[in-house]
Amino acid sequence: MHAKEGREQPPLVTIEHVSKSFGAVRAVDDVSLTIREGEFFALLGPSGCGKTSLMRMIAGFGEPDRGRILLAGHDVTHVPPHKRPVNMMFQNYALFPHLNVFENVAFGLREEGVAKHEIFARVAEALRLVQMQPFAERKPQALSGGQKQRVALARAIVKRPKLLLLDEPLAALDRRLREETQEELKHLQKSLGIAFLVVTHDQDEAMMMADRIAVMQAGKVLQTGTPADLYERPANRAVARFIGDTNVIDPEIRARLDGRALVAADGVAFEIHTGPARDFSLGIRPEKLRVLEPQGSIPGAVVIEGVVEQRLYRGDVTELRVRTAQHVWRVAMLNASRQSTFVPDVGARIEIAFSPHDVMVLPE
Amino acid sequence: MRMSRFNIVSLVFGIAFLYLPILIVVTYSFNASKLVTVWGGFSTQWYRALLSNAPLIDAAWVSLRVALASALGATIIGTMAALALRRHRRFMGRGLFAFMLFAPLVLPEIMTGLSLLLLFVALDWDRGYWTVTLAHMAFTTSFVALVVDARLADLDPSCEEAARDLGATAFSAFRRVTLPMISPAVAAGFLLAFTLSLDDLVIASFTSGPGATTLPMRLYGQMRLGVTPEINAASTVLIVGVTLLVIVASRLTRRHRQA
Repeated sequence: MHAKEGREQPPLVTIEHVSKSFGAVRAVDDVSLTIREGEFFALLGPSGCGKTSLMRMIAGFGEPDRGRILLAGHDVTHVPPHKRPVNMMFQNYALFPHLNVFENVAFGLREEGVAKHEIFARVAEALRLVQMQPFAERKPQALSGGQKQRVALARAIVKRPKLLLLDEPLAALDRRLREETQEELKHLQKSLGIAFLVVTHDQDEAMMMADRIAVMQAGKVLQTGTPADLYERPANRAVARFIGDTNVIDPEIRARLDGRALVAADGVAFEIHTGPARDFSLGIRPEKLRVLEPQGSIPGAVVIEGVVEQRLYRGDVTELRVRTAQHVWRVAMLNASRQSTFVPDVGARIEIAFSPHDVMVLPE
Repeated sequence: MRMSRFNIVSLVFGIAFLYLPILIVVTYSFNASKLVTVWGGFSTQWYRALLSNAPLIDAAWVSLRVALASALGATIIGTMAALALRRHRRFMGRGLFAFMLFAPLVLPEIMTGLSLLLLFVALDWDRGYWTVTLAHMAFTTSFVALVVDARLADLDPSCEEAARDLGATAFSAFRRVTLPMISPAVAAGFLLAFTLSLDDLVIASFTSGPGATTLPMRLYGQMRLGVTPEINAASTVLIVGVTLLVIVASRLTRRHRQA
């Protein structure tokens, strides 16, 4: 998974201080990003966070008010969409209803003036990649949602763009198909070697597919990193909340010294690395919390007493809500083996424990 | 669901009110008698008489040429106007433009006719074929724009964007994607403009001149000398023609809605 980190690819897209407003709304606010060659990159954020506006500017639909967009070293900020070596798969697929599957895929090649026999070969190849050759003669209306998605994908890759933009590529599919397609997209991206930029509001989707993710909120990029970076070392509270579940605690700060601090949660003191952060919350993932068995102990752990308020069985894990002196903690217990797991009942008085190393420091 | 007696009665009356007069015209066009109100047996003699009525044939010919030319012009201008209105969400005077585009739909014909007459007089243009054509183009453009605008309203704009993204210039994207998608509405608009021009009497009366008498004008003129079965025959031909065009136009718009 981390094989790529050793040899870093050269940048393909460089976005420099791009801003874009629609009326009084600042959709994209001073965003700078780099997408590398051959990378699977995701723009992740809630709807209205500016991710789609940013993607559209990369495609050439709408120019930034400020900033520059470089593609393979060339400034394309003011280049119209039909002259960019970038193709886009639209959210609703935007297949041409009056053309059959073959002609839909061939459209871009015909515009380019590619020779007839080459068009035939390349369209056939693209349809083969998405397993849609048997449907070449069909009109889009006669296809299912998943089939339309494949045709849209074939149409977008047939011109061999340097970058493929995918706007919520899986949003219109049902859940099972979505999971299958995630894996296929990932596989296709690696085998084609084209950089993919996916816009999504679904954090699982981004985590599953992307090499790197930029988390956006209110027009700004909060953090860019690998899925593991975002999960284990979120830059701030918003990212920690958006990616996965987190217990966010406002600690009592008792002492600071050289980027370390003595803090207390529920009256239990422990020492953590804070770096330069002044104002911060603490985040602890539910699965990093352990439930101590009666009379059990873990050396070096912070131990807090509480009462089980709620118990939610979720198959792979059992989730507990544990009320302590000042907080309600979410604890995820892995249901690894039916025999050995100790799961306390609702109302039970228990001790939960975590290692100070697993505590995330979250600036505002 | 069963219809109540009241509903059946109102349906029959409604239909009768609309179509009985037309039915009478059609029936009496096959009347052998010269008297309009007395049935004298079946005959097609009035249709034969129609064919040898040179002024009427001339008028029909003028009407067809006016309708064709004005519908063609109205289709081009109306489609462009609808595109401008839909494509550019914001431009100076957009509201005024929309209002002015659609106002002729509800403007009394007599006003349209009179104002055009005054314009032509002021410009010192000789009234004739071209002035009727221009006048018809002016009032049918609104109808074309309305039909095309309705189609554009539920057209997915991302299709045209997809075409641009795949390397098509703005014009090429319009020609290869948008135009085929709206073509049924454009065709329906054309047919609508054609029929409106074909049976317009009021505006034509104001804007036509010597040598450019349209069919409705000629029929109206003849009627002042008394209604003859020949007029019934001419009306029947007109009714059948217009009905066919309207059916084709509504088919065109409906088929696309289903797709």
